[in-house]
Amino acid sequence: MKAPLSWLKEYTEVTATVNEISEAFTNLGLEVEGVAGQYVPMPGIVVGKVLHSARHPNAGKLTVNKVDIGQERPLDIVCGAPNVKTGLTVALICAGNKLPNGFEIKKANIRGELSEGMICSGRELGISEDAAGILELSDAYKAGETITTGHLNIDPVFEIAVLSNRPDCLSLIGLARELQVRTHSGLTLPSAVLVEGGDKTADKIRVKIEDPEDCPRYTARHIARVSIGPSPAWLVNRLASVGMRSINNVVDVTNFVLMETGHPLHAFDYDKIEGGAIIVRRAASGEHFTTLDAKEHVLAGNELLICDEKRSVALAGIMGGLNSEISSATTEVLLESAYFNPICIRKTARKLGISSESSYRFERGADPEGTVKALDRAAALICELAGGIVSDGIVDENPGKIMPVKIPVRTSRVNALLGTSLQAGEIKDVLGKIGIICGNGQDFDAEAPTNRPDLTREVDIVEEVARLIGFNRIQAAAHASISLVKNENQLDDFRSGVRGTMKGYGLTEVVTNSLINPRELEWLGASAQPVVLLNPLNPDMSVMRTAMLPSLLTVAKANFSRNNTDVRIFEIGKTFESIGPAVLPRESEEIAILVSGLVAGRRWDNKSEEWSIYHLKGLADSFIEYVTGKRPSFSQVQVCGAPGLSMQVGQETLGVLAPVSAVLKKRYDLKPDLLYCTINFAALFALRRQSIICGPVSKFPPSDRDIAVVVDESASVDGMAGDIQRESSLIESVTVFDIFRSDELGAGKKSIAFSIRMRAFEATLTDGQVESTFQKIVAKLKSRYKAVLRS
Amino acid sequence: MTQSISEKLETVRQQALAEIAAASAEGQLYQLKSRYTGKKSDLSAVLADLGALSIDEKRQIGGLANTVKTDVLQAIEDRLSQVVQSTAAASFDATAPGIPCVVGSQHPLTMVLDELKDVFGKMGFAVAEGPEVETDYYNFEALNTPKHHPARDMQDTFYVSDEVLLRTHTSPVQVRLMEKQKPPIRAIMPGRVYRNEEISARSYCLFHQMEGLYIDAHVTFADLKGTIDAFVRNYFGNSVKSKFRPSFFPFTEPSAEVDIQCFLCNSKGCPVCKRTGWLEIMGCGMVDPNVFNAVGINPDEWSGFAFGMGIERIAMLKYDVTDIRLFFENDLRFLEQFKHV
Repeated sequence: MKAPLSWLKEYTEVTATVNEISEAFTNLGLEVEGVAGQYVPMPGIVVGKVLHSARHPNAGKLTVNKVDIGQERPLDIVCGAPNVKTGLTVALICAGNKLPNGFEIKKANIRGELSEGMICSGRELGISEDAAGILELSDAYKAGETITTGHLNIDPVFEIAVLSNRPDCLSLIGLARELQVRTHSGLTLPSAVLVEGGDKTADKIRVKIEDPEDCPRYTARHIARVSIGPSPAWLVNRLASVGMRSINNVVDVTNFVLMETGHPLHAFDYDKIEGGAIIVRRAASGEHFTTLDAKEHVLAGNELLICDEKRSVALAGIMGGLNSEISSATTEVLLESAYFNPICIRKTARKLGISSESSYRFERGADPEGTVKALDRAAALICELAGGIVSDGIVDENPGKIMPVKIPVRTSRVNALLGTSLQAGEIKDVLGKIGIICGNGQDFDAEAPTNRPDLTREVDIVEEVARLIGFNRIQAAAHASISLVKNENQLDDFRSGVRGTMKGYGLTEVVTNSLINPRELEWLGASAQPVVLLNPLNPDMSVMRTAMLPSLLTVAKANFSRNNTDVRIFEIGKTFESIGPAVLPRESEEIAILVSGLVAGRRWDNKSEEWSIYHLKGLADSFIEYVTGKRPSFSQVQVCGAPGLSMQVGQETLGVLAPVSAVLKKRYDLKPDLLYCTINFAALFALRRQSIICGPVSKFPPSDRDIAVVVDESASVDGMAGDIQRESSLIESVTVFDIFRSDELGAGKKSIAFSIRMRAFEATLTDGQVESTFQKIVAKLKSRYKAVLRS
Repeated sequence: MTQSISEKLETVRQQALAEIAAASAEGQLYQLKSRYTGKKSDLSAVLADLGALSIDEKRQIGGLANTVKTDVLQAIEDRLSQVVQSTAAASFDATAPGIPCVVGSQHPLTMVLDELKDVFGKMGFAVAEGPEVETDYYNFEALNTPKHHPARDMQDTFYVSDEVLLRTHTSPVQVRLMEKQKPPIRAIMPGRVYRNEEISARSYCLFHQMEGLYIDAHVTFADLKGTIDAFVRNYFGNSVKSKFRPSFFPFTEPSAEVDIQCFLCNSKGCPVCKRTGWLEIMGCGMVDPNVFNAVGINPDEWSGFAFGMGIERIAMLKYDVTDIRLFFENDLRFLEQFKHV
């Protein structure tokens, strides 16, 4: 909402500075987002009097000027503006100073003539876009005065963010009413001096409201013998100052009154209203209506229409019809000032995609008691500007009369909620400043005016009190009482812990978009049903991911394209699976890892390692053991078209790891090899080691034995290691230290070497113990894996 | 006889030790070892030639010969390790880089979130969470924002169906928490939220919020101010002041926006604070009685406040990030700048 200072001053005689006014508005909850037409005085920019202006001897479009700036010697100034002339009072910047945009003006020789400064245009001072000529100031100003906003005759315009609960502030009067609370400058409302005569309005206009719920009140006047023409300059300027275009005197008046009072009006060409009848009714399904912007709408029914005896003439509260608009031929005007139900207007405006100044206000809540005031104000102005005669009387159909609300308020409650100790008198005093009438006593009734539909409850009045006295008046509590509630969120702590551990593995955390393109899920061959958006921004963000992989592949692609070839990333993110249209989807959290390139950067000793599935398996193994205290078991599975592994701890499947398949790489146009791993976060959380019980460690030395066996290719290395481990409680650890295949071993055979560490808790192991354990291991490997011992 | 043998042994020893000391290569030392202690060495010859001596003499000369042999071997060992060490020292290039050792980094958004949780955690706020796909009821209706309420314009919403949507704020978690838990409640609710807004340097289709809620007997607006002030001083610096100005949210009454002094320019005015010296960092207010009514908490018995802030906004201010999209592009060169302890 634009609020020019000069216009505000029509209703409240503020003398405060622009900054003070901005602060007052902002502290009242009407945030000033900017002030247009502001000029901050700058050193060296002063009033100048052009003593003499003559053509530049060497340049046709330039002039050389003597400009008095109140000093002994006038300055020599070369100027290019067409409107400079002897006797003009101008804004001048002396050489050696800066313009508001930071540009420094220097003494210069322009085509052989000295110039000791510059005469400024509006754009150079940053107050307008006008650079066509220099500013012409009032001759009343003295040479040498530092230029201020006052000299420039500019009108600051406050750009105010009016929140959706304050329709009353969508008007200049509403804003002035708020402002005077802080500036104590009083409020003067315009008076409509209306001379009625000629016809009786009741004979000219008949109003019938068929839907009183959506149109509780409809008032109208009739004005005869108007002459449609251009508006006077003041009106054109007023409308321009709030960004409205002038149309003609009658329409301009309705717009002016709209901005002044916040109440939308509509002027019909009376001759186009069949039978002088106004019928307010719901539209029929399939009915057509052409608004005055010449757009034709097909109505679904339920839209509220203003009709005459034969046809519809306006979309109630939103826009008038093309068929009844004011034209240059109009001589009689039917002026409408009604109150419509906010929800009804909002539904229709949304459905038809129209947002007008009128609908914007009605859907937030106009003032039902403001209808007649606005009507009379507009009628008086039309008479004044278009020379009409206002018919006698007013038509006022008010079947759903809205009364001011009486709200019981307890002074004790105000103070209890705000943490203040205000007296009832002070509370009533501030409320009175915005027209809230309060009864007597500590507990009293506050009557909220009908222009404040947001005030219905005691708490609403509490907010008004806080707002009006100013939040600064409420002292921040220095001590807070804490109710001790045990309410730990271990899941969230665990999440932070996982992040730290992942970081330690050299993985960098990413945060990715959970909205993806549905074809990415097809590429994965994902079977889970995604959550589909009805109104996506674009196809690439139209469904929610059911898997983390697409998001991470997108990150990898972005990084590859920027030559970041070593990718080691992880994310703890959510996936979403639709389980039916009417219920919320299943949300699950995953730890997802994607790696590509070198494991630990390039080394100079030719030992750089590229990520392999064994690296990632080792990472997952280590991580899961770190978190759960248990080694996971791995089994081979196909993962998105590539041979991968699933990971289990006990009966619980925690996740999978696999290379990214060649097909998938091609889909995403990725060249390097990638590997990924996902671990279900909730499952891991459930398996986490919650308490650590520390046991003693053996004081005795271990015995290490190595064993190498040849087995069939199908034998599980993990399985053998596990079987060895379980063979005896004396076995402390089993490590695979060599795997190889060769022609000598033969096709389908592999050689595996294990290093086995044995140790007892109570004594040093004897050779006999070691040997018998070793033999048991050999026997187990022979029987279970048909292993042949290598010498 | 023994005299001359022992003199000879002594000479061998002297000569061997001198040559060992002079040797500078591993190979030389192995040659010396073989020459002085091998089968064809003088020492071996002496020891082989003991047959003519008496038992006493044999013992004496044998002992002496062994001592010489031990000394020589020891000297060779010592010299060998010296030589090996100096060879290694010569091949150690102090200027060659170490073998790389990688460490990851945390994303700036989760870093800020962790910091916020830490500050509020110390003030007794627990962490609560809720779903990202929500019902219209939890996202709007229960938060005093009925259908066709103009406040819905403030938040452009992604819909899944008429009744299911992507949450536009973390406030529905408040409602879920209040349904589950009776007061007192003191919780923060971090999470991801979605807005159907065109993507630009300043807005993305999703972002992260952290909501806070405190409900107890006799909670006042002054408590809200005190809590926010304590948070601002803890998080942004002890000298940073905050101010409240009235605002509107359907689910709080009174509602306020909180501005803090711009820490980038010491509130002198800079482009980030639009030359005002103040930065808008959060919205807050006293829980609206309609919200209490929706969850069955008696507003005459309990009162409370809620606040909410955007994680991206704070991270952008804190790390001088000028484009919100950087957080979601995940360029590793961007992310790796956040390595720290």
